[in-house]
Amino acid sequence: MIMRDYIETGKVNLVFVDFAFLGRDSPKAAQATYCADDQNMYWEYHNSLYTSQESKIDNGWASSERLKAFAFNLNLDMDLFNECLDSEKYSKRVQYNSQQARDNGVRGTPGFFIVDSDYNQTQIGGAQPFSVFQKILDSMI
Amino acid sequence: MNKKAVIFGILVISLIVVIVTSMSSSTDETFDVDMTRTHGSISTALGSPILGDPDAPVTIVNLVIINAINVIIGLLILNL
Repeated sequence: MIMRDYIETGKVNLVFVDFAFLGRDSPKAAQATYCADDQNMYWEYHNSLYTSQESKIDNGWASSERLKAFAFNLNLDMDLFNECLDSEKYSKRVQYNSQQARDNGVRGTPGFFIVDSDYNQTQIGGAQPFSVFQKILDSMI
Repeated sequence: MNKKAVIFGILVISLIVVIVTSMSSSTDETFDVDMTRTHGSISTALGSPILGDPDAPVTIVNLVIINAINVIIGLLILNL
């Protein structure tokens, strides 16, 4: 409903900042999203990850091989994608984003900051019901 | 004379090494981003592309981890 009522109507937009600190696969998966972004497929790749993720850390669901398989399934240019992922082109970018989360007091995910054009911001921690978001969003629009 | 030539040669080679090194490191991690992009206290410059209207009056910054235990992930929440 946030997507339908707020984002698709132009009232709200959304930015993901990856907070990668659990397990060795986590930073690699975040890097892979930016490798997909190089081919203008960030959101498509992002959706593939989220629909395929599993609860256990480092059980192989986001191994390099799987990350490449997701890219293959989206018909990405595999030479470009593999070179990007294997070279860890975006490792510093992911480290930077994780530091942003820490600097802003985020200790776990999902964490949300809702920010209006006057730079007022409200933090929401954890998975909250739609009504919590609705109340805050409506007060800011 | 030979000594001067050797020193000059070393200087030229050193200069070439410095230039090549700096050029290779500067292309190590390059991407097209707006480094000034912030939302509230958070720099989102190196985050995802913006989903939705970039000029929308309100922004949700979702800090997420990929591959976490029992995490309920952003897109699921957004579609509540």
